[in-house]
Amino acid sequence: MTEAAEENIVLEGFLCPICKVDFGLDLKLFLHFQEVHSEDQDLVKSFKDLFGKAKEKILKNDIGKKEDRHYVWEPQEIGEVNSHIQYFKHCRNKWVEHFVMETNKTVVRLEKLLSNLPQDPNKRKTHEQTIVQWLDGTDVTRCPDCTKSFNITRRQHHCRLCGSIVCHECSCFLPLSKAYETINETGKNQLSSITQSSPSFRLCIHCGQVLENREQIKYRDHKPLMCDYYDKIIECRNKIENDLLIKFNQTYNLLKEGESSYLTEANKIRSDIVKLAETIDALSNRIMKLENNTNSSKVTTKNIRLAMIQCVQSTVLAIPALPSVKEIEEIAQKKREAAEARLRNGQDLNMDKSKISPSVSKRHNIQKNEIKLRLEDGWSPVTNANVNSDNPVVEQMNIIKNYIKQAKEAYRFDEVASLERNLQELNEEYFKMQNNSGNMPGYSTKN
Amino acid sequence: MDLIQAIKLYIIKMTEDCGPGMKVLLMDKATTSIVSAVFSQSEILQREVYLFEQLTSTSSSDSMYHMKCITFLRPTSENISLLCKELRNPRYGYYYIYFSNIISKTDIKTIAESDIQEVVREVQEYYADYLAVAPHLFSLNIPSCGQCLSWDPLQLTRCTQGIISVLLSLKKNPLIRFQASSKMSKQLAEKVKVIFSKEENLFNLKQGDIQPQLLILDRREDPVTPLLMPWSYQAMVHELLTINNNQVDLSHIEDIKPDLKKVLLCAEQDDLYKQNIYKNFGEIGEIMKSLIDDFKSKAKNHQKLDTISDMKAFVENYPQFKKMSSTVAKHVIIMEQLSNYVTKKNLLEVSELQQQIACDIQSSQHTQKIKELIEKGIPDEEASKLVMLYALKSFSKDSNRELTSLIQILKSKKVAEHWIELVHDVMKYQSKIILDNENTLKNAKQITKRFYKDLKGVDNIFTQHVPLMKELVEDLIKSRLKEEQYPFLSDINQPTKRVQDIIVFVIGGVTYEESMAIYNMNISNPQVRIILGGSTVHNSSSFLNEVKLATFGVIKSRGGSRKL
Repeated sequence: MTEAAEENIVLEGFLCPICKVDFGLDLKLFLHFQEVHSEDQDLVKSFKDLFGKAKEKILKNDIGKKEDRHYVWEPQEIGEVNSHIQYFKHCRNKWVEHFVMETNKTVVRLEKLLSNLPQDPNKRKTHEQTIVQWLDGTDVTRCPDCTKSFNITRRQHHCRLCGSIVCHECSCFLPLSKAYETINETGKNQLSSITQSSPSFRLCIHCGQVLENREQIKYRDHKPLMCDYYDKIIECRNKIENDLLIKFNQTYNLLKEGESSYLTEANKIRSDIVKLAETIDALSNRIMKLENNTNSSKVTTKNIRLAMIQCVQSTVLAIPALPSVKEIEEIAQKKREAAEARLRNGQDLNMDKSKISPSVSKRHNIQKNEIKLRLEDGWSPVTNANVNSDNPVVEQMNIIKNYIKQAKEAYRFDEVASLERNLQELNEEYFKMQNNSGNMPGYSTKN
Repeated sequence: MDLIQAIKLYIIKMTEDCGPGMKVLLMDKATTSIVSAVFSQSEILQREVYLFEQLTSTSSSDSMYHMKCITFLRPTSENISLLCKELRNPRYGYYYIYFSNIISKTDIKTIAESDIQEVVREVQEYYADYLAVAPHLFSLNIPSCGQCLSWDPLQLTRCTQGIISVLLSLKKNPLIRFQASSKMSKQLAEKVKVIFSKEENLFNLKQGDIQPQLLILDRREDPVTPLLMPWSYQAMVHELLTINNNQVDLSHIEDIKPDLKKVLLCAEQDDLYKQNIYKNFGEIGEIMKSLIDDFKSKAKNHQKLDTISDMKAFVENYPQFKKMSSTVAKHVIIMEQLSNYVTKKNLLEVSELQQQIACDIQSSQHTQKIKELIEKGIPDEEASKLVMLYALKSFSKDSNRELTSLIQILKSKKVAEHWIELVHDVMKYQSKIILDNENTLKNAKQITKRFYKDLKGVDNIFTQHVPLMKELVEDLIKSRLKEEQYPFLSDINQPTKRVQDIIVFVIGGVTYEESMAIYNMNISNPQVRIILGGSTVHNSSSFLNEVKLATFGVIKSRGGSRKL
């Protein structure tokens, strides 16, 4: 073994683990180990034991120590974004202008075609050709759209709106009835007489597309029944999430504080939530039952239903059960006792005690003529006349207690919190005063 | 620097941008997996997205003008032309278009000219162009990067885009470092650099004092790690059952319940999985056992519903109960499968020997042990993987002869020809050029290290091997990573003394074992944040597939590749 001084030096090379001599080559080291340390077979054996143990240990491994440790990185904001909408609009505007012009041109031509349209097919052809000049077909050997050559089976056709030549496959038909609809609705009157003799116009697919797009835009604003139901559902959901649940939680916390007077209110909010949830359930069910002719709308309605079931489950199940009157009273009792004990510990507050008990009993009266106020309304508490006391601090405390009560009834929970803080401060002030003026019984004996 | 969070924020923003109302999410195949990796269906339904469609040439023609369409696509030319077609005959009310990466002006113009009905409301680049597998791990789902040990140009572009989008989504403008010994990593680094200068405006980001570092590595430097049997839960599931887009296919099991044929393994939605993702096989076994006991006792409680309040409690807990039961059932069946494989394939013995070979322990006995195990009749793939490891790890003069004899044994055992070919392929794939003296020196160091370690006692014989990447990143954290081997791309950069944010990308894929190593380093080094990414997340079989494709057409023999 080497001296202690060497311990700090990092040794490198083919070192013997026992005597720490460098042998330079692994074979030499091996031989050395075999020769010199053969008596150390125990050590080698202990190595092997370690391996064996470790093998067992695979079932109870080392990283267990790191259990439940996670790296935590600070919250991040959304990554880079890059908007192209300006450039997009710039490109689109140019194109849309072109398209609008095209559409107008086509519609105007269609109007011309339809006015004074003769019933006789031959006369009609001449009429069509005078409105739109047809392209001369003698030099056109291929359809400009699909580039297939014209022959006996693939004949030339003229688009009635632009006069260009296309093959049958690259053309489409515009029924007269639809043509009248396109230019104006009044055409319907002439419909019955004309449709029998002349069924439709032949168009090239480009003109057809232009008219088709125009049609589509007309129907874009059409909303199916489903949308009405859906809007109602969202309205209900917003009401639950943004209004009722918040109110409920606030009232629920008050109940937990032992304020039994809020029980009816809490019950009402609770039943409101349940009612709205039922409405959501019913409406989403109705959406699903609506007749859906397309596959995508079936999937959509099914998913809406699924989402709403989840939503209802999560809201309704999240509402805790209300404590019973008895439970609340127990809480209230405990709180009262605690408060009284605290007061008694501080001073002989006999006069204050007599003040508290009537106010408790009065709560039930006040509760009946609840001040109905909306959250949006301005609100200010009314000073109750029944708070006189000779000690200005006690008086102030009583006034604030009164305010708190009123604020609670009006659901001004922010005010309640700030008033309660006030009261706390006054309480402390009062105790300090009582302690200092313990030998001045003038105040306390008055009541 | 949380990748899952980064993608989530983008998608939440998409659903918020278009305001309230019914929405449809129109995606391509790649973006579908990107979204589903971070969001469950129920989560996305709560964001008013009720329809999921893929943009294909055979899309349905059902028009639903009352729905808003969030379009989230990769900016490929195929997608652009499909999108133009869609906009010429729009099926939905309004379109909010998001591209997952940088898109060219000409493409925007083409799209704009298709929007004659003026239905497009938004065109944005949101850089969610990678699969966030874990907060610190991303994958690009590229099964193979190229042929002939060089890039497939398409995949080079995809990797560049992937890295760019990771950087932009995390708002990082890093220094680029690459592995000098790898041509592919240099090419990728240069490509990334080109985008930096081309998109100066985008990369004009506010940075802290310490500039982040992007380190591009090549799998060829460490082909050993993917061949070893991993023992942590996630890695094991991937090795033995294969995780694909967070899904595990269990349909091969006889009489499996229909709802368990394809199970979802997603840490974001499955707490049990999240807690145990890095635990080892033994630990998981115990956790499962206690969980089942707990579950049984709960189930028992539910059986005696004497009072009304019992019943009420049951009903109220029911969804929870049901969810728990399905999660437990899922993990129990996976564990069952894993332990079946471990016994069937003799994996404990195989893994022990694998580790010994990988760490050069008792090297003189390797061939003998491999022979013994092969004689025992371990499966073909395990036998050939052992030979591969031996081939990668042994450098002595005898090893060539030994290797030939091992291959002879494989042949005599009627191991399929393609496995034997793979042994040669892996040797071609390996990039390490080790000169004889360097070799001995390094070995000497390692052996010393190990002897000391042996004296201290071995932690776990199945997890002794430390991935090369861990050593590299540790060096990087200590600013000790050699600049000759891992140079900065441009010499203007003055390498900073301190390192804070690190992004490691591995061409040729990463493994879940490496992901775990990075996870643990993130815990033990709170001053740094490390993110790991790869062209894909490999298990041994997918890795060998990539090796096969990568070495296709390479004729260099073992001796030849050494000299070059």
